[in-house]
Amino acid sequence: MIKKFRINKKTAIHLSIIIIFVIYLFQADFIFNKLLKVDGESRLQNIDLPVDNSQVTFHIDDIIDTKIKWKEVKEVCGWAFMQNRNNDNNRTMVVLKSQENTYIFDTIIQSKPDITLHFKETGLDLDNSGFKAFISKDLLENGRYNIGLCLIDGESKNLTYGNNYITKDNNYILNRFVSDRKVMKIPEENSGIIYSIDRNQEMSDEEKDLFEIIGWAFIGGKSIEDEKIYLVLKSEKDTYVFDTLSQKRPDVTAEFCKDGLDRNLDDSGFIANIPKEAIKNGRYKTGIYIKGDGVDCLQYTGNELTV
Amino acid sequence: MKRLDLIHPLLFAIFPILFIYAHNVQEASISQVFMPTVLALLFTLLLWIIISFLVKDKLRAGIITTVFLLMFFSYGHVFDLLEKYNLVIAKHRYTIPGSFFLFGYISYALCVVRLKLDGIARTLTFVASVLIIINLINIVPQEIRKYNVIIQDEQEKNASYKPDIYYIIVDEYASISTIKNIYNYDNGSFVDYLTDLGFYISRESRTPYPLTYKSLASSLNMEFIDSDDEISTYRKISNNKVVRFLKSRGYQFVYVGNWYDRSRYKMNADYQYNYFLNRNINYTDEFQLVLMDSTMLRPLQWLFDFSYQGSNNYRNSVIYSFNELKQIPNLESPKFVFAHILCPHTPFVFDQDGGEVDSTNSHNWRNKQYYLNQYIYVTEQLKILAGQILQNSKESPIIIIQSDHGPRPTNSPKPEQNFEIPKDEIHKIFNAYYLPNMDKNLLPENISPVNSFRMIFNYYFEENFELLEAN
Repeated sequence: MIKKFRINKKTAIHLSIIIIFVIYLFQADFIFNKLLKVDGESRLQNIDLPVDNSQVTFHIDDIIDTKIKWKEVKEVCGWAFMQNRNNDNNRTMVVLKSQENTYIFDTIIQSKPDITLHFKETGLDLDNSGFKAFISKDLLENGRYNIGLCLIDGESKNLTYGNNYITKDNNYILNRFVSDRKVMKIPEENSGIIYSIDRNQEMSDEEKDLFEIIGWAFIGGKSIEDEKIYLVLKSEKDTYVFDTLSQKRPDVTAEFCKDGLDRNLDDSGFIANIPKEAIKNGRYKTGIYIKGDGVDCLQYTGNELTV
Repeated sequence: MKRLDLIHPLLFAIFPILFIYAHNVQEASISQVFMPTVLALLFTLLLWIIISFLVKDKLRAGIITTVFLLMFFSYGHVFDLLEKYNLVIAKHRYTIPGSFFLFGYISYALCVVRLKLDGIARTLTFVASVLIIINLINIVPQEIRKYNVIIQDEQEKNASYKPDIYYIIVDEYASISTIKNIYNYDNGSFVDYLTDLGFYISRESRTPYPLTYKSLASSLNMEFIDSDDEISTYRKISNNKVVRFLKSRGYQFVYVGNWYDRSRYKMNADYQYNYFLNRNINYTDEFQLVLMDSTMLRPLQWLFDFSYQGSNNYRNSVIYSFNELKQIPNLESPKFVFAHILCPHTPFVFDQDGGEVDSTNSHNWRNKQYYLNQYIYVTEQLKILAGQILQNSKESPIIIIQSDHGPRPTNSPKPEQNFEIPKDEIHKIFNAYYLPNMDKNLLPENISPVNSFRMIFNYYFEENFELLEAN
């Protein structure tokens, strides 16, 4: 005789407890990140962002880890204003943009009469140009975020991204650009790159070990405009390519255009922060790879890294 | 089954507190253990009674209680481990419910599975006892060393001239050159003000020690401190030569303290002023915060905003010290007044007018304005204090206003709020003397704090202390 499957009361209670617990685990982030807000925490905004039009002048003064009650937040503070406009009725938003996600947060206005004073030649009233955003750390997905400022004044929306980055990796958020590993084919070495490695050091940030490599590079005889600079690490077994953050280096232009050559090397600066954990143990020679429209150049520098 | 075998929950309630105390025995005081122990025992008893009522078995309830205590007290350590490996589950929203879920099922298993419970209870009691004994072996000798301070009184000697002596330490107050070089602030008006009052400013003074306890031990004992042993150095502060010398000459000792000294050293003072002692306030001290951090109470720490470093307590304690100091000239003379004012030391809680500071910037060294504002506030208070002491004293007193070391802008728990300064700036100190009748031309520009009292005792008490050569 076929027995009918029946769940007794005890099993039902256990199953209920386990199911409730599992449901809770899946919903915990939603509950704590989206439902439970604390006073002062920046709220996510649901607005259509304009394209970056470089019409916002801004500066990020500080990015600090802090807590509001039980919530861990990143405090982003600075000042921002729209070119040729007073800051009377502006709404200032902090925008965090990664490859996958974009977050827009509201901010609290801070009084900054010193900014009015600094830009007095513009004749603008910038006393309310200061801002502070308290961004819940848990709200952000893993990724590298470029920080931008979006200012809204009535119908006018302006957005500008700067050179500030934060990078989230599970429980850590680093206040820096962390290089991403790129899977790409690199050419054979040639020696057309003029470069300098200004700094090549091991460092630790939020208990994450990084190699920080700072320098400048360009292809001899050419300006550097739309080209991208990558950092290549090559050992006997493995080769890694990492992207870099472009840095303004007008001093390089000044130095290499002394002879009256018309070249723009302002974008020749780069910073790479390479997480140690992304590289297998070994001894690597470092190379600079410049890729652009019709440009594909790699040169090893003689510097080495040991993991 | 012996009754004694049942006590393991109580032992496991005490053990974590003793464990943390044993690891901090040099800096904490046994009195700080009392309150957490009482609370832990009461909580354990209550939990045991409730579980006994639910499972109707004392032995089983005891084991379940111990399981809970183990999870409760190890929570912080386990959480740190998860965080270290950057695991996604290292969030209290997962780990707290997860702990309760686990506890629930372990308890359930203990109720339904047939186990030799008396054997488990005996083992738990034995293990807990051994753990407690191991910690006591570490604690007891250190406690004996701490409390074996013999206050040696010297034979009273007569001296005709007995001016009141004020030794005011402003913790981490930058020297005139450091505040100029690093903070771009000219404190010349304070120098001018003190000079007009008759003070001498030793502009090139340095301390060999960037740590408060060593700096104080050195200046109060008129000798260099070579030992790195904290307990013996704290004992030197408790039983210092300067107080012994002055007591032997009929001086009363007045001490104006703060939270720092409460667990570290004891001043055998005739009058003691300490906001944290005298105002009967409730606050969580360093030890309690460390203990809480290791337990399941960690996510609730934000509720305990009344810690010793909480803005209100800190502000009140500094204001209290200055206010009490202004009244001290009215006390009977001769007296030696030693005041340790923990300001402009972090947390930054004052702006330059005495207003409050946003707590997110309480350790923000990198924005130099926060330290500078607190520095300016303290400077203004020192001006008022110096003027009032001189005005209210019947006879001209000796006053030393000194810092224990310079600013150390690397002690924020958030590395991004720190910055490096040259080491020498940390050793440079502010050092001002009001020395009635002494020819200031005799004083060098680089008086070392180790020589402050040697110099004073030589001149005013006709002693022959050799001035030590400072490196």
